[in-house]
Amino acid sequence: MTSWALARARFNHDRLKNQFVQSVLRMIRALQGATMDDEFVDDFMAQLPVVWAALESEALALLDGADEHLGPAVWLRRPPLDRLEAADRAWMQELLSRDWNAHSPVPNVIADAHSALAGIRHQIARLREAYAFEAAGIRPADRRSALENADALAAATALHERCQRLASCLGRLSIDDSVDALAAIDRRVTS
Amino acid sequence: MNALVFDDTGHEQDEPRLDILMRALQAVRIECAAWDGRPPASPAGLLVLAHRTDLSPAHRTTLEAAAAGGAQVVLYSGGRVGYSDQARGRGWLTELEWQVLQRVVTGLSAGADLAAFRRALQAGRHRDLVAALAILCRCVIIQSDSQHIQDRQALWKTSTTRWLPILEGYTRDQAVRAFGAVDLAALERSLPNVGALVSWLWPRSSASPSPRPDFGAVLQEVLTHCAVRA
Repeated sequence: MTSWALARARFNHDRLKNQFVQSVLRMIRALQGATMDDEFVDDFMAQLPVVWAALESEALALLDGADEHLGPAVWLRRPPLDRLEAADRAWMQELLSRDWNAHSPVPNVIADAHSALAGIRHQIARLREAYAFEAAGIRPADRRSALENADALAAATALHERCQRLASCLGRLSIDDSVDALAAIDRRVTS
Repeated sequence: MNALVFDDTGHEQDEPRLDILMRALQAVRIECAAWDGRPPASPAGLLVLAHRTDLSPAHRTTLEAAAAGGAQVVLYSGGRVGYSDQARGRGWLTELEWQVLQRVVTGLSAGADLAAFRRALQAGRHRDLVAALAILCRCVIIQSDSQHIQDRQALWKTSTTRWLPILEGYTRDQAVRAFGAVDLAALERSLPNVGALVSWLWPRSSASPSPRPDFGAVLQEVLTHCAVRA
């Protein structure tokens, strides 16, 4: 596993799915009125912009590095192909990259991940607007009615769905075996 | 299994390789420490990972003695280095590239012992060979309008002279085992086109070269039998 693949796995499993998504689920349960979790909800909403900014920055860095760490360039840097002469490496990489760009599922997965990130940004803004207490200083007299706020619940539920989409995309970027990648390309070429 | 790591200068994207190795070993609950250059008290069953270029001649002698005493000593290099794996007394002395070592160490399971380490090492080498052969086969069969590329492809398709320097360090037996066969005859029965490629690259007799394989058919066999997640 390359350092990029390790970073991707740790981000997706540890920080996105096991931490952030679990917090969103806890928020949803509170908004549904299933739990009384006022302190957590206040903390979550207060920290959400900062927490998500850090996660988004890490996700974007991973997506930016995906091509370099998943594509033909990395295959040709691995032993024993790292012994290729520069002239051979050049034409091989040209051919493989053409193949990769035309048929690999990876560019589409990266585009889906960017779309999920945009969706998360939108739902976070919607959630903050609906919850309102931080942005406008409005704290409903009756906390329970705020927790049952339908807009906030809808935004939190949509946020959870977008996070799951992002996690799914990042999971699909786990192909770092060139034989598997070639097989995926081959199936697209022949289908 | 306990491990000792020795690396004064190696870095990977600004992170000391010493830290990368220690973290990976600790993640699978292998007790590890930085090597202080002294002879290990109990070399049997010990894994020693050392950055080759940081070793003094005295260090090297000490590590060769540790291998003879039952340690698996791995000397790695960030640059290109020919792979070698030698039994030394009761242990082994292995030289390889950092990339290979990093993938083996980060792929170990919790509580791995020396035998598991050596199995992972061989499996990694086998995967590298299979991947390299698949990539090279793909490269020589992709259609191209460029005369320059076509000329290069022809060089690779008509002679083993371009292939063999890349595959230095691998033998026919290792190639056979990389595809899960016990000998070349078994490989030719299970994966005939892959068998033809292996036979072409490492002929049974230099006096009777094997016929050129069908590279497209080789690739299909590799992708059908060796791709697991695609």
